[in-house]
Amino acid sequence: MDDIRTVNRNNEPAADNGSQEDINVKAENGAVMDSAVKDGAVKAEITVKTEGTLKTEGMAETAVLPAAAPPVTDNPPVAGNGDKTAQEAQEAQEAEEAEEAKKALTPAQRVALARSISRPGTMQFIKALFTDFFEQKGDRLGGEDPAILGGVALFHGQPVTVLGHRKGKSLDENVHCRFGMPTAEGYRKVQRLLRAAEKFRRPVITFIDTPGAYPGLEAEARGQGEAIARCLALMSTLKTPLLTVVIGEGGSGGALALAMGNRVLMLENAVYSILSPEGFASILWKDKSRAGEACDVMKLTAADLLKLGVVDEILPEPEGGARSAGPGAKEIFRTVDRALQRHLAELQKQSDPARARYQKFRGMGSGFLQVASKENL
Amino acid sequence: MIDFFKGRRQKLLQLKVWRENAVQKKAAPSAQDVFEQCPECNGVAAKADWAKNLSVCPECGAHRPLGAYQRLALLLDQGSFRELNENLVAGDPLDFEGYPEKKKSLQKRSGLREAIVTAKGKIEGFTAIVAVMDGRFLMGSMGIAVGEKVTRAAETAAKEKLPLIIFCASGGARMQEGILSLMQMAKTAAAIEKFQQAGGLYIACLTHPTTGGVTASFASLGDFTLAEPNALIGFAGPRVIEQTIGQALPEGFQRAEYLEDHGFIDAVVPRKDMKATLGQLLRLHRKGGARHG
Repeated sequence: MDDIRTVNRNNEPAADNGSQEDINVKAENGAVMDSAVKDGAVKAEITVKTEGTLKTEGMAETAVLPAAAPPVTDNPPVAGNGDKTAQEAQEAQEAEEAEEAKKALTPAQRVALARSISRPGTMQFIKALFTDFFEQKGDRLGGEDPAILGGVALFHGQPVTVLGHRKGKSLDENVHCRFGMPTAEGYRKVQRLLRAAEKFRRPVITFIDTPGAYPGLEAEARGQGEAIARCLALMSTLKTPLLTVVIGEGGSGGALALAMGNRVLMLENAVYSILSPEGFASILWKDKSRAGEACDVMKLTAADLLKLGVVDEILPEPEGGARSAGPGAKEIFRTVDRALQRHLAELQKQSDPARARYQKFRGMGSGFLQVASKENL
Repeated sequence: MIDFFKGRRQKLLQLKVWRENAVQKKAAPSAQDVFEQCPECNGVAAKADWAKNLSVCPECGAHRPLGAYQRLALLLDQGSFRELNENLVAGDPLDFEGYPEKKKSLQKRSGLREAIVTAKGKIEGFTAIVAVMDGRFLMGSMGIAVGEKVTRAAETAAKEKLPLIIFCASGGARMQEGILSLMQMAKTAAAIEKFQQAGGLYIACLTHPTTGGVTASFASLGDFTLAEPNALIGFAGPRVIEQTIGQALPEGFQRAEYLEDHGFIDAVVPRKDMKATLGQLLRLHRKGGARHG
């Protein structure tokens, strides 16, 4: 299991400029691309290894993160001995059933979980993981978008800029935040906060939870596309470490605009895709109702994305998925907290996070590049 | 000797244009082979007139989409065309049913390897890296290969200290390659930004249609942004927006002139003036401001 991670990590900053140029030169000569072939081989290896085992990626993660595993028991049972064993047996059985259910989760079920209103959103994560949060509003160009929540906060005593999509937790909030679909103003606020983070040398932590950017008339009139493009360009050169956690839905460019992390972490039941399954089905098959089918082919689950090298680590969720309340909530917040601490510590040792980030995204999909033979035409 | 190679290169480009045009040809000759109707004004003109008019309707001036090689042939100085990364393609990351076959048949029919052609050539005497997207290849969508070719074009331009010009025409990120297509937005935006920070001049030319992930990455990052008349340019498609807001969109919404009015485009440039306009911009950056060109 560890191997898989190592492989994916290696994709990232280790590939230095030199090897990238090698690829170019070789491809231009029409020769076989060594690194592409190598990546291909690695990929094949992963597939073989994971065929049987990675289905329960939760297992993989608990192996690495043993400390995060013990369940929170605020009220240990104090009943009599006989009761206890009966209870234990029942609990064990329940746990087993839940484990089975977890294994059997289809991509479509994960999509439903990722969209669940009871799932913690950016606001819940900020409240649980950070202190002294000061929200920064507005893009300073004449607009404010509540679908993007951002500001400065302390993360274990260290000042960081924290940003994320806000969906809201009640119907009123949902409507106010357009269900987490930002407009151009939101993305320009992101740009402003990124620049401020760079100025004050604060690391940036982003939480991804959006169906996509808002497809509205005014958003277009104000340059939705340009606003997202500018976010990507800015993130690619950000001089401080950038950490991304996909907590719910990661849909399309609207998600990517906040998601160019040096590390991209993903909750076990979160999804991240090129477009919502509904949009995918309607574009490719002209039939929105085939969204369920789309879920199966899109490779949008955390396990799929780890294999593709799009995410770096899967963070396990409690049974039944992450919830913003109840004992499971503590567990998920602790898991995310520890992962963020660990990765942030690692990243702060890096001398040039911007360069490492560039190399990471420069390599996206390289494993699938080929040089076609002449006969095809 | 130099003339000889120039001649060869021009012939190669002409061959590619001819190959590209073969797409539309049918077996039996008919009126449709001689005449073409404009989908905008329904006016009918001889194909020869369309060609003479650079695929712009002789009646109403509607700009019809151009093939990538056709555009390069119109744009580049005689004999200066040299294609880059011609044979670069990508696999099938989603194991998407029918995708490799569809690409293969498109390659056969169009003479294109992918939805973009990247080249080095001269425009009015100035050497530049020019990339041209082609809407006939899976809607000009950006998958891994397109992202890689754009990125390499920017890298080559940076290395050789040349200006970069990209003609965009795209339905967005390529669905069939899934999340890795989305990642090409990050990759290309980063490559363009790096090139620009090193002092490179990047001119984005938006043609009909430029939407989705391409609009939200390299198409919107130009030092200069030009567009062809009436080109549809936007992030979300008009149909999706109509569904969202539940009413019809205003006339001209998301068209080049609309974007010009809203501050996202420097100039709307008719096709016949494009080469001269690019020549002017390249000339303006020959010395001073930028180190390139």
